[in-house]
Amino acid sequence: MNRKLLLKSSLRIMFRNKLRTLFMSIGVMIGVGTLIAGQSLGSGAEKQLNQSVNKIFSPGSIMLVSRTLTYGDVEAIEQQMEQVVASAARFGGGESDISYQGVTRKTAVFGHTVEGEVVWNRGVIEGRYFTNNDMSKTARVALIGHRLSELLFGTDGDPIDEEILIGSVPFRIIGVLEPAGIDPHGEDRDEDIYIPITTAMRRLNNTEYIGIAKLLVSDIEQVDEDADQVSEILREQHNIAPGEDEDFAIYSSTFVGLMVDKTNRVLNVYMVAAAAVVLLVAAIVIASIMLVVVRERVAEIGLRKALGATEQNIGFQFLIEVVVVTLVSGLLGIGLGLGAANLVSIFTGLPVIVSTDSVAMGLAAAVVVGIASGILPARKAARLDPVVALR
Amino acid sequence: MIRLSNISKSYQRPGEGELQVLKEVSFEVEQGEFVAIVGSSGSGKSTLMNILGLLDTPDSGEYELAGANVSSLSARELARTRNSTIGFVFQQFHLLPRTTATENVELPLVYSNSINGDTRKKAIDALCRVGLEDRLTHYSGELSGGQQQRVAIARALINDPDIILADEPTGNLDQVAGRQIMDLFHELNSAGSTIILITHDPELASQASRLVYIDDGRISPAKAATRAASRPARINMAVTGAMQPLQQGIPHE
Repeated sequence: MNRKLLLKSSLRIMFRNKLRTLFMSIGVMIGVGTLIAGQSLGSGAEKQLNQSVNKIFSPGSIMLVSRTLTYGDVEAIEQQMEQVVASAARFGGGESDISYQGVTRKTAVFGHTVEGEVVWNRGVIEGRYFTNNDMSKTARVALIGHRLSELLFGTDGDPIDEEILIGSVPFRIIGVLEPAGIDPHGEDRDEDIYIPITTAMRRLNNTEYIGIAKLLVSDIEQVDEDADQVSEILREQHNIAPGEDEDFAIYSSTFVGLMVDKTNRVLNVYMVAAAAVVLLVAAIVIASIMLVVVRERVAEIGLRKALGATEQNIGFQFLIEVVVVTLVSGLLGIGLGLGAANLVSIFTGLPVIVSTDSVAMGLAAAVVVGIASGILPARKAARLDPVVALR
Repeated sequence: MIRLSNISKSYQRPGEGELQVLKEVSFEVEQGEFVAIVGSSGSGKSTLMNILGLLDTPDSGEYELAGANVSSLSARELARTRNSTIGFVFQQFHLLPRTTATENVELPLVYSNSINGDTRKKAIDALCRVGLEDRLTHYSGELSGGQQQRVAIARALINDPDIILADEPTGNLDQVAGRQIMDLFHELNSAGSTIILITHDPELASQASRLVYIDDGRISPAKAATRAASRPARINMAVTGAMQPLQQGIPHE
């Protein structure tokens, strides 16, 4: 069989029936488009989520969360575990009114230690970080997120050494925090205020409890074993009898990594499932159109058989005609999907990551739809009796 | 070239039982002959043509085509033999719609195993042989009935078949176009093609060099003899007309 001539004739047939071809294409285009857009935005969102989670849960970190966590607990852990290379408590004081010259803004206030700069992975882009002196003197100094700074002082304003009120307590701004963007909960971390943890606990909240501490361990492979050891020490510190519920929670970076992966996977599965449903409907539409086409072209099939086409030739021809349509639709669908992804990206700021895998998957899906929907009509065409077909 | 011996074929008709369409049909066609198979509708001539054209297989009997017994070929071998050995010409032309004359003529080459060289050029050559050199890029719909049938004949010629099977080739044409098509068959026959014409029209059939009558599934040579005898001049003319150019050599090759 001369495949070149056959392929030429299927392309001709495709362009001859433009409207029919459009109906056959549209489902595959949307299906493959959904797949590509979903994958590209999904990978972009995944990358962004991983980045922001990594910022807090860098590899080899352990987070302790407890309403009854004290400095003493953290010190005990540092003393008993030499693999803990650094630790930093953080005090989440909740939201407070921040005001400057009559402008008031409700925002999150955190108490941080000197070590927080390294351990929590966020320094300053202007001014200076906290010192031990600030801690011991429970100084009324503050670091400000750059977006909050713009809100209070304008884009050109210099916040350093300006005095703001947190609630009714005056604080002096000593630095601007590194940008951190939107966190996975949707909070803008660039509107945060950081103050010394001692100031937050004693002056603003009058409490002994720090709330959260983060530990960095030396061996990231050992982080889960280390987390178990931390748990034992804390049970002892908090006098929790065996079998009794813990009053704290411990998260290791590997555990969080698994959670993030799971979330990403679930999102991905939804996108793929949606695309699969569209493609299934597309396949059914194409199959029914092709069954009509076969009936319409009975005389042509009979003629081709009279001229020497075998059953395989006829089946192959109809299959090729469908696959050519779906493959071209798949290519258009990839274009459509990328266009849609970029459009969404413009409005949401989500990065678009196009992998060759997802493009290959889109094309493969188009071919599979073509074969799946073409096989039945092709068989029907192949088995036509030429005597009946030519009558 | 063709030898049928004791070919029988019957169909199962729902509710009516078995219908025997061909009953022990035997006849031969020699190379270079122009034979007409004549019969009324229901005589079995269509079934006979389908069997001759390898579109249908007989229940019993032997069919020898171009020196090979084709009664026992597989579907794939039958298709290949149709492609290389037989050229079909149909009453309804059966051209592909919205396709040019050249592309229509190319069609058998799609299923040909031994294509070397320019398929386009072969198609154009075949169209020149039927006098359509100025209609190469016309679409089937833009051609008159007579021209469409010429395209179909060019398509039948393209693989240099051993026989041309023409089923009522003038049935859808007016008198002038019909005569031109018959002239073309005579010309091709003169050039060496074996032609089998299937028709219900005794007058058309009388243009062939030999007539085979079929009636109720049987070849009736007696009837053929009487009919032939009743029109001796016409047949003789056709025979001599066909023979003379053949003796002069083959003009188109």
